[in-house]
Amino acid sequence: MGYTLALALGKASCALAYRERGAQPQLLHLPALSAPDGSIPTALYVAADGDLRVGQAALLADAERRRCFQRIPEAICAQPEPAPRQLDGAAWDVRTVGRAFISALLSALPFPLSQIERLLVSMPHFESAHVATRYARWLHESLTALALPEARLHIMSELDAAALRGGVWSAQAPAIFAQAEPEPNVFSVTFAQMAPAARLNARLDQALRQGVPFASLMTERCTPQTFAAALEDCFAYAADQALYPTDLTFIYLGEASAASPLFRATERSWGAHAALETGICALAEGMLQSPPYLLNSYGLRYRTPEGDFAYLELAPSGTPFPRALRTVRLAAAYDDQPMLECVIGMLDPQAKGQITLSAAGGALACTLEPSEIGAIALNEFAPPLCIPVPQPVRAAEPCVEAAFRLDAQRQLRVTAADLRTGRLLLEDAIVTTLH
Amino acid sequence: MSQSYAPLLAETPDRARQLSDAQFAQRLYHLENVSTEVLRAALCYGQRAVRRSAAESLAQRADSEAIAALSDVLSRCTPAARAAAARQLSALDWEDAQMLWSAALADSDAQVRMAAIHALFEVDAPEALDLLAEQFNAVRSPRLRAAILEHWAERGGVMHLDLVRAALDDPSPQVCHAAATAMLDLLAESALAPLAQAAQRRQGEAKAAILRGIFNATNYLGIQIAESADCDAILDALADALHDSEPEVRRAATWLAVWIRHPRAEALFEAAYRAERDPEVQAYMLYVAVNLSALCAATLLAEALASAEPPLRDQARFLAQRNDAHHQSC
Repeated sequence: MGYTLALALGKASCALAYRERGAQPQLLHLPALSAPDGSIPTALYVAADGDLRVGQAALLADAERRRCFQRIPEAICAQPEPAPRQLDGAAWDVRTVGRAFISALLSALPFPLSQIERLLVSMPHFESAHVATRYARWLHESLTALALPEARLHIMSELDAAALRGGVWSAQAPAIFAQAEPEPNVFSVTFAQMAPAARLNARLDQALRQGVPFASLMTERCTPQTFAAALEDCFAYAADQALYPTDLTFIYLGEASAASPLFRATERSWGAHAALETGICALAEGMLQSPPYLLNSYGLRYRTPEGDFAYLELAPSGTPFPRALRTVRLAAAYDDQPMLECVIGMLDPQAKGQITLSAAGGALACTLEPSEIGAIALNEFAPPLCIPVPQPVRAAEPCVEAAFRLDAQRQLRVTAADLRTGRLLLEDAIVTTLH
Repeated sequence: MSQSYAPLLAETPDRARQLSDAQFAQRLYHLENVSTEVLRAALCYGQRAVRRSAAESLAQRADSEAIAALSDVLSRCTPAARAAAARQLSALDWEDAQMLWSAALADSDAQVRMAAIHALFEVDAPEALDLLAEQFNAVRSPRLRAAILEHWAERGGVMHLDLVRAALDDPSPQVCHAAATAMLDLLAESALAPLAQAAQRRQGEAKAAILRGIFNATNYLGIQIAESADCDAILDALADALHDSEPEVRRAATWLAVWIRHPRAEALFEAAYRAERDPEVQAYMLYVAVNLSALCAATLLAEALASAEPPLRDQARFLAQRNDAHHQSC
């Protein structure tokens, strides 16, 4: 059995979620380590006998905190780096503590590390590339020390995870991401772009070689009183990018009661809101979610009267799911054709053709009439799903009405009926999975 | 084999495919011979990526037709379209775009004005510095106010020194820091006296920001405070700041005190270090002293190694081990 494991790593606490192949994501509760809300304090206790405890167990073990390290990910980014703490003659610097924390945390999993097919770790957006690299290097050192293969280690931005969990993710959309900090009444506000669809997560080793991709245009700490100034800073960065406040998405991670004044302050301006009340646990779940819409356009292949293939668009890029798609009337291409195939093509957004713009209703709509086939058949040799056609049937005679829909798992389904008798030929049959 | 089962459409074929905003924006950017009217419509009615692409294309065209279209957008379209147009004004010839700059900087929407300010940063004409001065006090974003100050410092905008000086009293620490560095950029040693006064006058984070600004700018500009006529003014400010009630101010003052190679500065620092009651701040002061090679660093380090305070002792051990490793590698 293989698992995808998500580790959402916050400053004061972290959370784990996993997904078995083909199943839904689930939050992982580790009895001795997790707090009642499911989060795990980013704390490590070093006992005098060398025993290591993490999470709640670490906090409970050391009331004086002298042997307990807290807010470990924050310490990794601190400048200047905190001096190592001397315990039993050994120096515990932040990286050593961080490595020990990750090791102890992952060794508490209810399944062996060898069963992890993919490990996703969240990363904050950093204003400084230097700090981002230092953080990523620490993650790399800590995880590869556990003999996890590099190809299985991926990082994902907190912003994307939060947007996915909040249902407001959109490729490369600019967003303001406010998070409650561990101190009361303190928030961090980040202005950054969500990732491109193809790079929602990055391989950790490649990110280290090519540059950590999650850079923010701005990250600052504020209080409710200084939130307005932080917002103005975000707008200033938006203006530099030729963006208007309505182009921005606002996501808040923390207790909802604290979010409401922030939302009120921003009421006029935002394109979309999302508040994630469960904090770090919501991030872990979000890391395992897929984009809430189709990234590509898809169409049904048909034969033209001239005998060529063409595609009828069923689901344009950006179609959310689940959703009912179009209903199409189909005919046989020749007498006594026994069935009609449902070959689905991914439509090429770069296809040549004539573009038509319309600005009806104040919004611009843009369509392309392709002058070439401009599609890649996905399921041609799968073989494709076929709709049986009751005989006899004459060429070009309308015989089938096919209603397409996209289900919650991005599966394209079809229900087909005989146009002549109304008899159901296929009911909600799976055609293929779209992305 | 599968091809033989392809259906015909029983209805008039609709071959049109929807293009997403991002897909259309990408095409718009690369297409040639798009009419000005289409670009204007895309700018007025398109979403973010389309607006930006259309505005860039119009500005790059920069002929009279494109300028008229941008002018029309700035006077009649939505604030979002006006902001996208304003951001591209720097691509136009300064003389040709006077009316457009006036419209954008006088726009009723703050976002449009901010977009125009960002465009002004890209203009070489000296008049652009004056236009920034006209906007400065109305800018609500601390980061943008700081950016304007830094821009004046880079471009030698001494004619706006009164605004730079006034910015030392800005509520935002970030603006105070930018004002302090801009003052030193523009006036060199002559800025030290007013900066010392500002450091004495301000409190909390603003005070710390001004002290950091003085340290940063004197460092990268190579200004020797100890040789300046206004050294005493700075040292007076430091004498207070090193004993400030805010740990952040004491930390900021430490850098400057150790950086100034002057007997009184050294005495002030050492006295402050010994009087410091917060072991975390004291450990930080030791870190600064060792890193900037203060004369008293070796003594303080030796004492700290025997300290009863764990944060200070740990810091001292870390610094001592690092020094040993450095000496061995040499």
